[in-house]
Amino acid sequence: MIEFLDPAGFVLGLAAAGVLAAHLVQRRARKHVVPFLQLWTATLALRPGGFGARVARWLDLLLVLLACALVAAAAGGPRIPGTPDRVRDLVLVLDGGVSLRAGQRHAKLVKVAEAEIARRAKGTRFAVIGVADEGATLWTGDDVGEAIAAVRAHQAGWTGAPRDEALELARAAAEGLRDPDVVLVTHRRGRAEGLRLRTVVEAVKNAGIASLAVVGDPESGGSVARLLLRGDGMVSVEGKGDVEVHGTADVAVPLPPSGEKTIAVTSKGDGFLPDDVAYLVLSEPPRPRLIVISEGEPSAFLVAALQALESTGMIKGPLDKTTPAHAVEAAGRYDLLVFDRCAPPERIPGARALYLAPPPGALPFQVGDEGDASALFDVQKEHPLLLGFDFSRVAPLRARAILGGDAVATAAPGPVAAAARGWVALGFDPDRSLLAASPAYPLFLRNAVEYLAPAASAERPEFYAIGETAPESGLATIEGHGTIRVGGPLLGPPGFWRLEDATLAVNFLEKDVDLAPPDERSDPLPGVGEPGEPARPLAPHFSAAAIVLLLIAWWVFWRSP
Amino acid sequence: MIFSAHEIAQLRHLELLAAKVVRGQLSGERAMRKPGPGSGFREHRAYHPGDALRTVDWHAYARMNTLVVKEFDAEEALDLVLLQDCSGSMRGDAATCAAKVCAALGAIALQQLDRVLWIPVGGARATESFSGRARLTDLLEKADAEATGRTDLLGAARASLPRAARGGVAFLVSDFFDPSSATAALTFLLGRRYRAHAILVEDREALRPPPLGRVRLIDRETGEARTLDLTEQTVAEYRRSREARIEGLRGFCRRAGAGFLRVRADQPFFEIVRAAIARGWLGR
Repeated sequence: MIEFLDPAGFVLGLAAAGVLAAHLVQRRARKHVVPFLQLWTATLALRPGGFGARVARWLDLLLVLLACALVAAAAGGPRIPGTPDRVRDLVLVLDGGVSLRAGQRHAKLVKVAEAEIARRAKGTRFAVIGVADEGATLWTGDDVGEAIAAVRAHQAGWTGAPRDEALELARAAAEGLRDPDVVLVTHRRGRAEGLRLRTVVEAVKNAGIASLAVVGDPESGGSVARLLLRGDGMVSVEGKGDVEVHGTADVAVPLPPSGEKTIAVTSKGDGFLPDDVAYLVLSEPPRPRLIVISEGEPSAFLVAALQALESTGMIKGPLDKTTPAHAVEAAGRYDLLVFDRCAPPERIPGARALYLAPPPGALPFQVGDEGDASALFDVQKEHPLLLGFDFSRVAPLRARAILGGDAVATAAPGPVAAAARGWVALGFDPDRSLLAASPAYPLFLRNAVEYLAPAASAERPEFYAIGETAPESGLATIEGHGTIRVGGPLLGPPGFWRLEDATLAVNFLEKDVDLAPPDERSDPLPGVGEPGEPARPLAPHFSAAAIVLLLIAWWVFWRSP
Repeated sequence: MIFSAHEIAQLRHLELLAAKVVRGQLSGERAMRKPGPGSGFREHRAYHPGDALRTVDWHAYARMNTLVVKEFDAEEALDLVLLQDCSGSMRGDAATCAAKVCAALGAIALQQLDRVLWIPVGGARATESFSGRARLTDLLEKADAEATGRTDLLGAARASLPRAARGGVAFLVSDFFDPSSATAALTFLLGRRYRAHAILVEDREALRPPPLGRVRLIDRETGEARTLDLTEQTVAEYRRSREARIEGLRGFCRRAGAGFLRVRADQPFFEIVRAAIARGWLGR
């Protein structure tokens, strides 16, 4: 195939060549035999205006030569060189937050991204970064088709997009590119430093649940579930009417009687389903399980005090007992070990234990000699173990020193009460002091449980990742209406969670349910590469000039004397 | 053969026409003005001793008793010089026309016992003299000469005519495209006491002007070429120049007492020769 630089120039060149050919044919000297040439030459020699004729002949020849030169130049495809394209490479960051699942937002995002790629100058290099649940560089290169394919393969995630991670990836990708534009294709408002935003604008009505939390209700003295709603008129709340456009409402729902349960809040009928249901797993306060370890029968005062704690919900019953020989075996099954005047036969790593008048043995501390302890001094009244009662009135007669940990109270032999991470120890027998029979004993035990047990309760998750199952959950659904209150904290990490067979949208980040109407959005135009000035072909001009010159030459030829 | 059977018949007719129109003065049968051996009575004169007795007019002696002798005009042959232009410029119909005209004139002369001096101008053949009817065939063959070479009328006449020429009748059958001079040969012949007649043969087809525009003109005779830009104006000037040249030749002939006849190459030789006879160009 022949490709012409300029088809119009080629056509005009042909026309010029045709005219030139006709002209040359016309000018070609035809041979003619005459009987007597001298008569012709003599006749022409006498012609007047010889100088003018010569000038006309030379002018005619000059014009024809110029026309030939122009036609030859036109055939060469002359053109004024253009300026090269000023290519700006593109780092395209695709927002993959969950809110893009609203309506056709993600499809529109893909279209906007494709248009952003397509309008770039030829030779632009691309880096496509997808930011969904986590950021990832999807593709780099200069092939437009592959860049668009990478954009189309991108899917929105189920959490908020980590913008900072995306920025880091974008900065890394921008290195080595030529004056790159970093364009974040998103639906969010506002600006991000170092990014040019390309906003997908789509009005989607949404009534999202921003937060769900359990707070105390000062009026009733109980607890209520607080819902922070966000919507645009889609939620009808009893007693409050519709939620205003882009407004918020706090719905307080009275909780059913205590117990471990799950609250689900539902709003319906908008364009963004994932945030229409929020669940909160309400767990009972953590109640550790205790076991009393003694050589024989445990102290009756001790058992009575522990049963009092059990009845108040501080510990989980029923109360179990065992001997030191089985202490190691029982350690894994109980949150707290209470050694009543005995010591374990061997060290129990990681065990949380309360030691009451322990004899020397496999203990995490040293036990000293027994001595007079009728007078206590250096009592740490602000220590968590001693909250609520006066330990200085315990009056033990004799006690062993507890060497290790933080001394809580000291007598003549040394520290008689001490505590450290994972253990609390009394160097005297409570039954041989005023402590056992006093109301302070259950308080001391409660403080010891509070001191030792929070570590155990903190290990239980409040939320469950997708695929996990929350145990012992009974679902109680509360529709999205009730009384209104403003405010409420966010609970736990936001995102989607799996509770049994349901997908839970819990405590979305505000930005991920921010589906504002388009007129509230800023939509700054991103920068693009500037195409260079294209080369200007001169063949048409040359051909036209050749035609004009030939016409002039023709005229001169025929008008010459 | 230069003539067709029809043209030969026309040629016979021309011979009879010439004998009728110019009887006694047009051919070798014509008496010369000076006395001499001949058949035509001229006058009587007194007898002088030495005169041949057979010239004595015995009848006159019987009547006048005086010896007188009869004098006769000498029967001297006429010299007919034919300068036939055989140059390259005549190539084509002009050459044929010239050959036929010359052949016809020569044939008439030979039939009347005149001498014919055929002088080619240009061409490849040499000058040759003919006398007697028997040479008619040779003359016809000679006249059918190929047109080639250059035109030099004066040079041909000067080279072929003897210095001691006694005059006669000369015909220049040519296009008169002589680079040196068209009239010099006529002047030369007149100076040698010839009654010179110019027959200008024009080949209209050859003289047809070339197409307008840039034309490379090639001289048919010399091969010389020149490229010219011809316009209607220049062609008109050329035509005027050619006519002026012909008129100049005609005027020269008129002033010098020479005959001039302008004929077309495609014109039948019969008409041309008859016109020459009618003008008395074959007489003394």
